[in-house]
Amino acid sequence: MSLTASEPLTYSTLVRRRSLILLAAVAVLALVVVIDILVGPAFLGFWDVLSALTLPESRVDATVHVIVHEIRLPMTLMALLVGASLGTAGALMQTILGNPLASPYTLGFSAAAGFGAALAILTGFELPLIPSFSIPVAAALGGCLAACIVYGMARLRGMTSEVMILAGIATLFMFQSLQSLVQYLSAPEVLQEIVFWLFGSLVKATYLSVSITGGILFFVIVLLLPEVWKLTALRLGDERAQSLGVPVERLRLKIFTLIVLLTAGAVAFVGTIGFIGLVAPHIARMLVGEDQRVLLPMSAVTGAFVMAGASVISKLISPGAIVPIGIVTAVIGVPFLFLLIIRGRRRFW
Amino acid sequence: MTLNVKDLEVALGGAAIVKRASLSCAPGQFAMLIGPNGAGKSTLLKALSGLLPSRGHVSLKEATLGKAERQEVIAYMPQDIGPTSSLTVLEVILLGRLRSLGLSVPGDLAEAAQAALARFGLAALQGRTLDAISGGQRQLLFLAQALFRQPDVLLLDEPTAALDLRHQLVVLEAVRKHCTDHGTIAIAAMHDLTLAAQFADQMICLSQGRIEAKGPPENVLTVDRLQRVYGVEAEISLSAQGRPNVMPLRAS
Repeated sequence: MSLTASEPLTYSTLVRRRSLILLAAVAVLALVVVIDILVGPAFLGFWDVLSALTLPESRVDATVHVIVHEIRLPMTLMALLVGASLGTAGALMQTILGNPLASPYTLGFSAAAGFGAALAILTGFELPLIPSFSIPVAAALGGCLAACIVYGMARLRGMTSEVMILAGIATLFMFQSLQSLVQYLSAPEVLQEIVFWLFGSLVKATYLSVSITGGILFFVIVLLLPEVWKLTALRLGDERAQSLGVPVERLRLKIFTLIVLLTAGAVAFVGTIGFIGLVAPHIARMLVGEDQRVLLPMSAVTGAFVMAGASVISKLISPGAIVPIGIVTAVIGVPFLFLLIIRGRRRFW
Repeated sequence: MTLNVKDLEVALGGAAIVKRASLSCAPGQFAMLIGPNGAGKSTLLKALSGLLPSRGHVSLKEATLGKAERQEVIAYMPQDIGPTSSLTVLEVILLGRLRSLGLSVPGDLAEAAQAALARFGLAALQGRTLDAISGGQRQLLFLAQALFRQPDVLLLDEPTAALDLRHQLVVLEAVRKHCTDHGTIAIAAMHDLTLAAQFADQMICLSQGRIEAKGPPENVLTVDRLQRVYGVEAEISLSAQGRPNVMPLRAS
């Protein structure tokens, strides 16, 4: 009854291979994280950084301690969490919409967050008790507004991927225009602040913002765990998934909400990072396939790697300064993606 | 465990696609749904499986089946050969037991999935991705997945469409055996009338959304009916097993 020639690759071999790739990716990420902590405009030596990380505060130079613990560590942790959040959000978005171009950026969430932040900067909006959170909250609200628009359209015409993608692209263009309008209306010094925010930057990372972004990522992961196989089934198409018992529309709504949370948690504190949500899932998919049990963590690790790598480059481009990270995320991710497209045997979608 | 369908109606975009369809299938029965393109075969199967909203009454084991219950006990295999994706063959078949899957795949479930693949000669492909196997292999795989679900009712939309002659027989023999062994009810939409007649316990002929005839193949497949429903002049002879052989002559 066989249709085929012999095939050496068994599923258990494949699972082992994927686990090894994931472990190797984590190891590479760890290396990049160490480099990211070591590199910075203060030109600290390797041993200075190592002592600051390992010795008690009393035995380390106060300036070195502050630079490592108050500036570099929060920035590195934020890079990891933002990259992981956007990588996961992008993978989820591509899966629920069945579209390789879907990401929080291409569906307008980031543009709307940018608009929210720009509007807050222009108007000098300040929250009563937590003024330092005014811009992040405005950005998160902007992202949620975009999500509400896309969701509202989908409610009217059905939660299909086509409706959501069309509504998302329209939302992207609308908020990009509104962003431009706010920039046009701004005074030069305000404009500079808006543009800096829109570029995306890690320099304002604090342990509090790291905790919030990390808390959201953890919360989303917990909610995702029971859904991973249903998400995998969705890659067979809505009809097949539904016939397997997946409540497709309900699942899409739940995952859509989690994507909004992840994106809001990521862009609120660092600004618009457009590239990672799109490309990290593709890199991950080419390396480990479609099984969401592996694809989602791999997308997170890949996103974190691209973000941390971009952070290193942003500190090396101009010695003594830090270039906004949003400018360089593509610089590290695109060559890697091109290499996989050219050399990889696996389809990228 | 008889499947009873009474006055099933499906309307899409305001148009009635299936009109007051009633049918009954006994346990272990393999029924063939025939009819020309656009007769409503796929719509009827989708409505039975709960994928499309419908009116009417569907019951199994005397219990009425709502949409959720239908998705529990009915497995539906669409007529397309599925998406191109980098899911592996074993992952696809495991999805047939979605509710049993956790973060790790239990060893006995993986073994059962491998055995299900072996029954269709697909065991050697378990690590391959969907985009690296042929359309025919995909069709076999999705049938294997549907059987792996161990459903009470199996609905197949043109299950032999992408298959060569031998594998058409492989698929229908496998379904036939599964029905006999497990008491599963199978309903398959088919275009090859001779092949359908060879395996059918019951034939259901659909025309313009209505059930035109149902019963043993030799009663349903008549020259007059083929002329009326398909607009085809045909000769019908009986095989050595007493099954109708349809030889289409010309479109009228």
